[in-house]
Amino acid sequence: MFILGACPPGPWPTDDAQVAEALAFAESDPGLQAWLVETRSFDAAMAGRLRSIEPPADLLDSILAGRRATPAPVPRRRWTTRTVLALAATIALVIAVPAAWISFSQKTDAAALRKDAATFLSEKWEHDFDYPESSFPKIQEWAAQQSFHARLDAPAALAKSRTYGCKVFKWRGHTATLVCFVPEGQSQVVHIISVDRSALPTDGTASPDQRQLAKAGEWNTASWHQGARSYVALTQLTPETLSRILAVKSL
Amino acid sequence: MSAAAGNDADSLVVEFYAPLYRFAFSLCGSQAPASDLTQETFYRYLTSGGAIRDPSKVKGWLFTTLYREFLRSYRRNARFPHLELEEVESDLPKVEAADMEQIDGQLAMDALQEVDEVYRGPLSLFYLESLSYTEIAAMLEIPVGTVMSRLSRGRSHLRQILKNRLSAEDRKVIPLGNRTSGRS
Repeated sequence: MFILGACPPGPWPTDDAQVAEALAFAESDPGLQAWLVETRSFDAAMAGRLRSIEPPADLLDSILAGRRATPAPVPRRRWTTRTVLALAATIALVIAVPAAWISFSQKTDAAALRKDAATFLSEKWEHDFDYPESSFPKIQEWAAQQSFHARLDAPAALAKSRTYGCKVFKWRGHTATLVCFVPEGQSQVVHIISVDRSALPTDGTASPDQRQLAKAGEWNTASWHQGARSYVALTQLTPETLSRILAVKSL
Repeated sequence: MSAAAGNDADSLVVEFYAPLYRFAFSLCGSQAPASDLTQETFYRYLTSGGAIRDPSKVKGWLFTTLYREFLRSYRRNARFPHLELEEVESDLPKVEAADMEQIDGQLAMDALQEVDEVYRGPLSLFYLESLSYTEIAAMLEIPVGTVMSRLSRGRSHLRQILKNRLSAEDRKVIPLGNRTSGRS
């Protein structure tokens, strides 16, 4: 009943074994069959009514006008003449400046990780996972077996929560991991990005008991280090809720 | 932006502005904020620098972005109190499928507005976009089991609200000779 009621109006999905099994069961139960027919009929009628709502007449023109007034975005990963020239100029500059300046300019810290993590989640990540998995212990096991040998930890309240999976990406030359948690009782995801602590040589990131809360773009964040890794948690939950989730002690 | 890229962007707007608007309208319940949400979503896409390289993921990105923006901007202004549906679910009458003849698009949308926000997002994508529970889970970033639960409870609540609305209509006194002005 639960799974069939979650199938949208229209043809039944043909590639879902759970649905096929539930349909077979429904066929043998007249009461369930009647419920299904009535619910599907309601759903089809409701969908038709809602889809009859039309957007305002001027909305399309307004969006298209806004599109034409929008500054051209900078394409990523495209090697234009301008990009090549800019890169050459940058290389020349880096070679020419003193070593001390180089050290300063390449400083990486929790603030940089926080900022880049927010940009990654909002603009670059395509909601894909290298290891889709709902159990954090399995993600830990998987990450430890990869070539980057990450030993991942999570705050106690999250470690037992359901996950969506793990994404691996590069941050300033270092391997970074993203794990997405769904805290119990919450409707929003908590994303935790981590890098090896050696990636933040100039960092003063706090220990797990002194997590630093900060706003980064549309995200509420907290950063800390634990063991050999540095972490930043990003969510659209309130800072109070995030703080409460992260502060829960181990049982 | 090149002419080709501009044309692609225009095509994208034409293809998705109406479904995005309906989703936005179903979430926030009035025309102006729904239009703003739709415009903001496209603005974010157009200024993202082509971050979404896989065309098959554009639709999901747009709906997820709109939902995130809704939560960020409008959630605190929710007009309806959260109802513990399990407490009231079995006691209240629900609209029958046969009664849907009496319900038009505006009444259906009004009723959807009264459903608690946590159920409204999944219900909207279910009815407006015919998305599967796994697609809804990915777009709203919630677990599949939660989507199923919210669809079930949300539908139940929606049917109670529609029943109440129809009952209220039936209680209206309509003078003889003017029945065409009411819903029948």
